[in-house]
Amino acid sequence: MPDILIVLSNLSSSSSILAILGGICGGLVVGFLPGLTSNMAIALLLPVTFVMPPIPALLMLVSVYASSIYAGSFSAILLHTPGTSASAATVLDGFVLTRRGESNKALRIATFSSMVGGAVSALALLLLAPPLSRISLLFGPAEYFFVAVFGLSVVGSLSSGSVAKGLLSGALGLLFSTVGLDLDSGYPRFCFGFNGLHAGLAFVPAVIGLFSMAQVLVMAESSHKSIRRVDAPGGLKWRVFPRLSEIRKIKTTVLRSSFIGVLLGILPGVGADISSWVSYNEAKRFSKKPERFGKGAIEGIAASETANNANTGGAMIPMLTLGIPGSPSAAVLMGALVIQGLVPGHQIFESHGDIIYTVIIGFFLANILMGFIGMYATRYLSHITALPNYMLIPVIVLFSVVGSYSLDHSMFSVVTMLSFGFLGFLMRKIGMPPAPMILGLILGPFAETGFRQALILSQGDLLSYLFKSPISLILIVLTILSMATTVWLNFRKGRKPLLAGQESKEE
Amino acid sequence: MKTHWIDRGVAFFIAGVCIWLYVLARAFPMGGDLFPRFALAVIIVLCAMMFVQTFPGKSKSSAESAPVIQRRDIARPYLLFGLCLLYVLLMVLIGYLAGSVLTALLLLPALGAKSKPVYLMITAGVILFIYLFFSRFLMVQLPVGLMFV
Repeated sequence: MPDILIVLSNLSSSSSILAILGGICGGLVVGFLPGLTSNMAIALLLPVTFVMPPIPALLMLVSVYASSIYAGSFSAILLHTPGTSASAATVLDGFVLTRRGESNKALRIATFSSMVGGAVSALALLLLAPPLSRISLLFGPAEYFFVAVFGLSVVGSLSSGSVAKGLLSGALGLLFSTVGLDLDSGYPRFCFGFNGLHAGLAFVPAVIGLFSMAQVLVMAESSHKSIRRVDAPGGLKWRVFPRLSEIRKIKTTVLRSSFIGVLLGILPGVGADISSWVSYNEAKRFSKKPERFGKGAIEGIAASETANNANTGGAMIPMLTLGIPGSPSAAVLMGALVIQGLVPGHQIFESHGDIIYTVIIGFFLANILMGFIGMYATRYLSHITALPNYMLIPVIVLFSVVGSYSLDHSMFSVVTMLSFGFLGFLMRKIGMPPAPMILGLILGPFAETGFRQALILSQGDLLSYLFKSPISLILIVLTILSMATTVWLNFRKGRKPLLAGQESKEE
Repeated sequence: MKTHWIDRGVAFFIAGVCIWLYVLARAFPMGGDLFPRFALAVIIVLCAMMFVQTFPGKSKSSAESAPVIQRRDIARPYLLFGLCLLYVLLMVLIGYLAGSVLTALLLLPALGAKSKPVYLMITAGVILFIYLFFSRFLMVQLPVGLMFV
């Protein structure tokens, strides 16, 4: 672990503070607006962070991640429309309070719970990630190959909708990752004469396309859509901090939900929305008065909001330690890490400890700061929900096009972004999740390198080499189990999507 | 069109393209062909799975999971995509500023904007903000256009 003074000095620099504050404000706006996703916000920021040093770049991205998930509760409470799918459970009790004219109470409970959940997840990340990363030291080429396969299978099979479509999306991502010059022979693979493809399909334009451009095309179908508030927050009775009596009432729920959120966040593919619903159900189950849930129970808001923010740090644990993102947003963050030259695993804590620990502690700080900023800003931010889609669409298009262009001053990147945008739009139309494709793009090179190294080391006996290590066998069993469980659960539940409502934000 | 027919068409199309790519991948040098062929084989198998899932007797998931395609405003995304392609062309020809302004004006009727003055103010502000942010702060040289070089 690096010197704590170095970490603190990194954090106290003006660029770090500005990055955290900028990230929080951006995330609050994105989270507030139904239809705009946390993935989209992170994707649009990637070109901006591309030219920044690693610490402020990553601080800005994790701040956006945390605050956009938190801000989803604003519109859930005020508009009966979750800003993020992670806040869908918050609607049940939050909007009831709003209709009673108690939106301030609902908002301060959501804020306090999100702050605690996010802070606990940051602590879990700080304490669990470094020791867990040692597992990656045991990994050889075969294990890395199977880690990639496992990551894809879990994310693909747990995505909303059909298992086959989720896995197909991931496999297409793997295929796209093979485009470009073969590193060993220099042979152009699937380039079809385009020199721009020799370096491979650019990751950032692909992410912007799949998450931002595709979302814009979806929004264009209802370009007049805007939402009206029921109870405008404001007035003299506005209270920023929850009362002690309120904290006493929700403290057990917050603690339990923090644990659930972190734990489910660590599981690859389980997004903040699942954590939120599981936590809500558990809070209801443990409650002495479960009949109050859905009728304005503050424990319901606390359970949902604590868990979804606790999920964010949890999702980064497998991402930093093994290179398996715990959520679609974490997958985009992993891409940002790779762009900055930081490869997940134990090495990242050894060689770049100063960066990673600064980012983790900065993430903790961002979770605390977002609450204060959020509570003061809510009164004013609520006005932006009046913006119809036709106002937002040109803004996002401009940012997507210029952001993609700025990466290498090439229109080829813009065309790549638009192509992936159209592909992402068509994928959404047929119910195919885009997140596994991004994961495939990221994990593809790791998987191929592992596969080819294993091929060389096996000296012709690839199968026995791949299956001889106990870790490989565990990963194979886990891969089969994850897919078989999903298929079985879908079969039992009459094929209900496992992550109901996941589509809107996390993907 | 029923969603399972769309799914079947998509599965057939992707599988067909992948078979063609698989044939191409056989020409890759030794070693460089293995992973693409592995990925393509997996995709073809998954397309077969997707196809099988479309039969109601086997499983309903595919049809149920696909969102219902609404007819209202169905052409607008395609129009927007076309305008985005035009925007790229305009950026190359007349540069970022002029291209963006022209595209914003074309988007106005395409998106059916009701409040035109507010729309124009917001887009003009964003165009200027992006120009200043990227060219002055991030030092990105935005396209000036072939016509002005």
